[in-house]
Amino acid sequence: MNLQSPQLKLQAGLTIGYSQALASAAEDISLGGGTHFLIARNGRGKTTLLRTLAKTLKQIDGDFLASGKTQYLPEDLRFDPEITVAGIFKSMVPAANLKTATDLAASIELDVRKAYGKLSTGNRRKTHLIVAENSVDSSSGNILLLDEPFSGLDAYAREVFENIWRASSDQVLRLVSCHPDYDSMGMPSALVIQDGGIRHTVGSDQTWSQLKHQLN
Amino acid sequence: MRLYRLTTATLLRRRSWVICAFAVGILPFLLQYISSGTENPALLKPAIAQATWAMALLSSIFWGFFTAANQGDSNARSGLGEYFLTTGVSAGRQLFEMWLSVFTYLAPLPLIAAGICILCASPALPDERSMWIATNFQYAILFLLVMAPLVALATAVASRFGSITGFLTSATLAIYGLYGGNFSFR
Repeated sequence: MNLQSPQLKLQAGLTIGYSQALASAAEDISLGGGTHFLIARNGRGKTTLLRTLAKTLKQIDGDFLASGKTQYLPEDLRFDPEITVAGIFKSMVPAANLKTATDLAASIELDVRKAYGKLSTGNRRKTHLIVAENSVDSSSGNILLLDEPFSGLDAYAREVFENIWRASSDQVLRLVSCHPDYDSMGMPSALVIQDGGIRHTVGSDQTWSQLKHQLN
Repeated sequence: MRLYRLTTATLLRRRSWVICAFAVGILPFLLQYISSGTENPALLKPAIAQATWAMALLSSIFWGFFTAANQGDSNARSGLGEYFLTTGVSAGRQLFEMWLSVFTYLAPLPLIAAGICILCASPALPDERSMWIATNFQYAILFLLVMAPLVALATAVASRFGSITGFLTSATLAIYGLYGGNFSFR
């Protein structure tokens, strides 16, 4: 088995944006396997950074290196309203992981017989996350870029996914944009976009409560 | 082939393909009763043949191109196209997988039409029958060759300019190709 550690390296000067620059990396940033949170106020460039790292949007300046099989889960992703969750899993998830995906859905109370169009926002989010998590290639390093995966998700489901993330942190690098809803949420590694700069801040006891004061 | 499987499962679930199956497989046998074949029985078989191929063409144009355009549009707007792109499925590959999926439903139509014409509308004379079989299979192949690029065109145009533009582009080309020579612009 060829297990490579996933890596994301943002060079100092990497500038993201559309026609105008939104933010630049203030220093060289290197991320390895594990969960890294991406926080910023609205419109500061969280989605733009994720799309740039997913290579669906060209950076304005600078460079970055992404080593690992990438999946970018857009916040507004949606499937056809007629197809059932089971149909989505059958089409999208490798056959070897289908049972794991179905079991995970059952454990977080996602009815796989329901049509996607009849699911609540939270249950749609669960569907997307199950597809992404079960599409991870176990023979190589993976990069998962998740845009607001927690919005609409209940606390129990969030905990289940966070446990899965912890268990596969060596093999999967997750960059997760979010607006946490409780102060004590641990964020040992976070990319913060503030005042046009992208900075990496780490600390084992770092929480949302401490980081949110940096955002103004 | 995840996008192919997803599109095929979605189309199966929507069940609108049943209309095409009905239009090509059943409707010609009902339409013969509003043809002049009711007054002249010799015209019944030609009426079935004509109705069958007309239904196959109409189904392909109205269902096939609309479905292809709709898939191209929704793939571009729903975030799925972007998701697949980041997993390494190029735009060209996505177009191919959506085209193949729509074509999976479209390809049986000319084969059903040819089958009905051969089984239910064959000439009585053995020599003519063998020519009739060859003619129908030639027409089925021609049908597939013409429809294949137009389905891809509908998907491609719709992914950039929306489903209505994608549908109209391919439908206009198909209708002009079928009947354009008969139009008079004097």
